[in-house]
This record gives sequence, structure tokens and C-alpha cells, in this order.
Amino acid sequence: MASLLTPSAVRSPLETGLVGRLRSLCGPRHVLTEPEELLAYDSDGLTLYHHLPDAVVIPGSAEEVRQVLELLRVHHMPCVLRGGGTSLSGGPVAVQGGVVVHLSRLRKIVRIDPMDLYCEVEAGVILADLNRELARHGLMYPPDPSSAPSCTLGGTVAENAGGAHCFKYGVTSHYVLGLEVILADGTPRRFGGPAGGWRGDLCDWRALMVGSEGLLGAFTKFWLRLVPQPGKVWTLRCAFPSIKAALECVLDVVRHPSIPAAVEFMDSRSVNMIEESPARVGLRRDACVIIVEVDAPEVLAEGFAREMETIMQRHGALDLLTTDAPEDRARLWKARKGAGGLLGQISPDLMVQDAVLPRTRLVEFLEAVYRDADAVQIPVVCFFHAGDGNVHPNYLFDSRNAAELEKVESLGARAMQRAVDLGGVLSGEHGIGMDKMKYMKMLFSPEEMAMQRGVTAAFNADHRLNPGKVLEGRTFLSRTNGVHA
Amino acid sequence: MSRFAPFYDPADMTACFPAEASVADINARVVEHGLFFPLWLEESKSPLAHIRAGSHLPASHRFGALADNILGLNFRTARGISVRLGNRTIKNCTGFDLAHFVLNSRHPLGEVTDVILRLRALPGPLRWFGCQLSPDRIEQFRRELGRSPWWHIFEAVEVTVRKESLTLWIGLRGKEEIQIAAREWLNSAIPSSLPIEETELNGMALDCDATVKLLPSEGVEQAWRLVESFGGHARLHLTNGFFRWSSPNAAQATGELAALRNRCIENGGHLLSPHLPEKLAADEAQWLDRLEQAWETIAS
Repeated sequence: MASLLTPSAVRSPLETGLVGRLRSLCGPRHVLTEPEELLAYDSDGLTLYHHLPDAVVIPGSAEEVRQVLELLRVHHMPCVLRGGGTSLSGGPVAVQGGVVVHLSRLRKIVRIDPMDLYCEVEAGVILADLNRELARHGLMYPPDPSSAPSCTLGGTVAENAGGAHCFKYGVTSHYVLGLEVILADGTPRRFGGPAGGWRGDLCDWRALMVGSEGLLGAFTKFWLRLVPQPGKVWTLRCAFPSIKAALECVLDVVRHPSIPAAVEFMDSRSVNMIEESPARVGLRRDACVIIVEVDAPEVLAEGFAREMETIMQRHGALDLLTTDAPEDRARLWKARKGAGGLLGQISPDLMVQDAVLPRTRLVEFLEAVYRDADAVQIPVVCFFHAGDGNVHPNYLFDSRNAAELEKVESLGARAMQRAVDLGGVLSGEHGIGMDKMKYMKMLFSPEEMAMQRGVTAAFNADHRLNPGKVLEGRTFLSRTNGVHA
Repeated sequence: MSRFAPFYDPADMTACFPAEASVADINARVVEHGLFFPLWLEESKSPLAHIRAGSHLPASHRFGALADNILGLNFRTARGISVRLGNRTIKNCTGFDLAHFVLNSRHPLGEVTDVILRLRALPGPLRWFGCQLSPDRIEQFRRELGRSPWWHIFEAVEVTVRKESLTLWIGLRGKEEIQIAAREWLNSAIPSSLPIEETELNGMALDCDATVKLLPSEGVEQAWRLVESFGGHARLHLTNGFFRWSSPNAAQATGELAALRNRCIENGGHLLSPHLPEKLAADEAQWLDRLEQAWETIAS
């Protein structure tokens, strides 16, 4: 999709000598400038926004990151930080060109401490790789976005990632004990550490860093809180004839004292889509499905699962399956987490939204989403984290058709406005990036927007780090454009 | 100017209360719907008072930090502008997390006037299992718990430290069969013939001479050392190395506290004490200056 943002026109061409300096710093293989190499960096998991960077640099250590950021500062180059590139908001896209700093070589798991229940990890470690290592110690790091097999920890911290299990276990910010970051001016700074306190600071800067979407600095290392694995897991799957019936059941499920680990919803459209695909798992067609996961010490888990069954039956559940078989669980999660991929196979383009609402307003929200989309004949499919109230409407369209594109943009805006009107927010786990920037003023008053801008004024006043994202008007004006901010 | 209107949505398990409402008042209001604000706190004080006293980091073993259970705020800036920070949803990554930044910061940035709380289903009264153990045995138990799924079941895992004894307390809610199973596991995990008793335990008092955050494995030893050397008593959240210490002799302990503070800081922890002044680091002062300058333009 062509971007309408003004920053795309304000590019800062590579200055002579910068590429050579980057190559001598990180090695020639780790600085990419050929168009076919840069193509892999022109978009993210959303695939709606395409902007080629002028160069990509892949530093191999925190010290190299520091020196790269310092070089880019001296050369007045926009700098976009990137992890696995799996984000769904256009966050790591070089909207003003410049240099993408790809942190994938910082992939050391420095330390796993089973005694004090933390790990020390570099920012480029893949989330699933970390959990594989932790499993050997009987531990886990709970945030689990669907992109876990390929997303980096740096990306998950930058987006404050959630996933299917954060109703019980919380989101990324609840697990970041400390972090190391290279600030925009090239200064390294550590906030917190393995003990998870304030480390002498009077302000909680760490709270601003987590979820900062690459606007405040380049993360190089984290200390993350770990927890023991939860014991026995039971998975329940049931169908309901209507969205209302399913989501009323969710309101009771989340009150169960075991605290369900996951409460997921799939609408009948996504259920039918899965059942028509090779990933079919025997879901009841034309019905809404909820998946609930209960985990606990073995002696308690089955009792909790049976109580959950009773709740579901009371709400008129159809086709109830309760299982502790790992293979059943794996198949259900494969279907649920693979649903997004299936959409990619049946539609040229996809716009996924990420609103969070009070659970009591979900039915009203979803009814409006379907009504609006059906009225303009744009297919919409919803599967989401119902326990958290975190809704993901997926609009299917073809961006080569200008009329469809316009309809989808209008639907997205209406959905976001409705979410805000119902007491919700614009994002629960995907972040704002480029995609939702234009909606920020739906949620924030002018005063609240000014407070948000104050954070970038403190750390990245000229917007050189990740320009054109999160807050409108964040354009980097370099000296080669004639004006310096 | 904007603010969240007061609300209470029992079905959504969220509510907006004035910042000065005590934990007891909040729980009295929501108990009729089978809910509670789950953090085990000094009930006569407000959640905000706990935060201001620096006690908010680890409030409950099961439900996490106090601040993580506060979803949003009405906030009045230093220039008197009312704004909303955060929201009422249990997930939110819409812009910078200013709600938790202002909640957790000890530098005065303005005034919190209302808090939006995440409430939980109340499974029954909190019951305590306690026993006296040596510091080594308590540490052994902590390590055992850190490998067990029971970690996710207990609501509080506390230690009271006095010169004459250390007592480990396990707080748990739930039905009789959960209590029985929990006691069985505790009996197997605590390698001791000491009896396990049931008793009442109050929330951790806010007034103290030091609030300390260390690595979990250091907590018992350091709390014990302070009590042994300077008397008084300490209360420790065993699983995260957080404790509060009070002693009539605390003024004589400034050297010890300063050394302990350095040790905390080395590992990213902290030690707050009325006996030790704090000062803003140069980089923090610079960031705050820029932030506050930007926020001041709101009023003009």
C-alpha cells in the first residue's frame, strides 16, 4: 500500500563514507545495500506498508550497536530498529529511508538462573528458542505471541507483546526485571536488573522503555523473570450457536478461581475456514468456538477442568471436548494460531486490527464490526483472546483494488472509533507503529497527546529513531533536507 | 482536560475508585459480587499509599506487583491539568505507558486522583499455614517452590524475621480439597518435623526504616542480618527478595544500610530508607527536565 504519510517524502540519502564506516565496524557481510537484499526489510508482518531502507546493518554485539548508533547520529541518518520483522503495525518499516539496524545477531542466552528465577538474554534471541532452553530447567517465560517461533525478545519488549496465555500470566512488561538500551545519542544505559528494582533511579524509566516501539533506543540485553512450568494442562473446547452465548460463557469462565491460562474465541467464519483447510481439527461448523486452558498441579487440574465443563454446560455449550492429551492440545493450538496464516492463503491482503475492550462490551463491538463489513461486502473474520478482551478483526481484501482499499481503511477507522467509544484502547499487543498512528487522537485528548510527545522530547527529540511512527508529525528533518529539527 | 468517570463493572471485574479509598473500603464495595482486590496489603491504607511507600513492587505472590493491577489513572499534572493515563482494559500498548511511569516514580510528577483497578474472583478467605524454620531451611523451601507448579497456587509466601525466630507463612484461598492437597505438598516440601499451623497474618505495615529489593536468594539472609545486628523485625516476600524492616535502632544502621543499598543497586534492586537520602542522577535530571518542559506547554 502506498503510504500517504509525509515523512516518506523526507528521505535522507546515505552520505558518502557512511557505508564504508559501517562495513569496517560490523564487517562487509553485515552491511546490506543491494536492492534485492533490502527488499526483505521493506515491510513487516502486516505487509501493508512498503518502504525500502537505504542500508541495513547487522551488528554483532552491544558495543557494535552503540558505535553504529553513534555513527548514524553523527551522519544525521534516520535509524529504524528491527528484530524478527514479525510485528503487525508497520513498526520496523523505514518510512523515511535511512538505516535499519537489525539486531538478530545479538542472540546469546547469557544466563539462566533457576535459583533466582531469571534469565539474562540478548535482544536478538528468538522467543521460542528461549522457552526451549528454559523447559530443560522446568521453567518458562510466559508471554507467547503467535510469532514466538520467529520473533525476537527485543521485538516483544518493544511491542509489549502478550499472546494467548496472558490472562493468567500477564504481558511482557510484567516480566522485564531490567534492560540495557543504547539511547539515541549512543549512550548505553541500564534500567533495573536481575533483582527487578529501581537500581537507584527515582523514576521508572523502564516502564516507558517497554512498549516504546523503537522510539527511545536500541535494546541490547534483558533480565527477564521466569516462573516454574504450570504442571498438568487440560484443554477444553466447546461450540456455541451465537457470539452472545459464547462470550457470556467467557464472562463466567474468567471468574473461575483457578484463573484459566487461556480463553480464546473463534467466530463461525474462522471455524468454517479452518475446517475447510488441511489444518481441520473437527470443530463444529457454523458455530462459534471457545478454547479454554486450565493448568495446575496434577492433583488439582482435573477438578478445575471438570468445574470449567460445568460452567460451559450451564451456558448451553455444544460439542464439548475436555482433554489432557498433549496431541489434542497441540492440534487445537495449531489450528487457532495458524488461522492468521490461512487467511493469507485465501486473500491477497489482510488488515488485522488489535483493539482491547471491556469484556462486557465485546458482543456489541463484534456485531457492529460484522454489520459494517457486510454492508460494504468486505469479508471479516474474528479470532482473538477473549479472556483479555483483545479483539482481532481480520479484514480480507485486495489492495490492487482501490475501492476495496478505501473500504477497508474506512472499516478499520470505524472499528477503532467504536472500540474507544465502548471504553477500549487501540492496541493490546501489536502496538501503534504506522498503522494506528492516525487513530491516536480518537483515544487521547490534546493534553494526553502532548504528554506522550513529552517522552520523545526527553529521549529522541529530533525523531531520528524510528521516525513516522506512533505519534503523528514525528518527522526527522536532517541537515541534508535543509532543516534540522 | 479529561478524566475517567467513576465506574464499577462487576461483570468485567474492573472499577474506578478515588485514589484515597482504602483497600478495606474497596473490598467492602466489591465483595457482594464475589470479587476482591487481590493484593495482600495493609487494609486501612489506599493502594496509592502503598505505592507512595514504595511497597508496590511485589504485593502478591500470585497476582503480581500492585502497580500491574492498576490499569489506569486520573492524574493531575504539576500545572493542574487533569488527564487520563492508561485505561480500563487488562492489556494496553497504545503509546507510552505513562500510567505506570507516574505510579512507580518517586520523583513528584503530579497527583493521582483516581485509580482503575483489576479485580479478581474471590474464592474464599485467606488461610495461612506457618512454621518456624532456620534461614537455610527457608531458602531450601524457596528453591523447592521455584521448581513446583504449586508456585502458581499460593497467594502469598511470606517470612517474618525476629531475633528469636524466623517464621515461614503460606497464604492460600480456595476450597477444602485445595487446602488439603496444598498441606500435603507443604508437608513433603518442608523437610522438617515441625508442625504446620493455621493462623491469621496481617498485611505488611507501611511504616518502616527500610524497603529493600534484592535477588530472592539474598532476601532472608540480609533481612536476618539487619534484625540480628540492629533488632526490630522484618517482613519478607520470599519469592522475590522484597522486605521491609523496622527497628528502634535504625538510626545507628546507616552505614550498614548504605552498604546494603550498594549491593541492591549492583543487581538492579534498591533500598529506600528515611535514613538515607536519595538524589536524582544527572541523566535522570536531564530527561525529567525535558519531559517536564514538554508537559508544561500543555498548560500554556
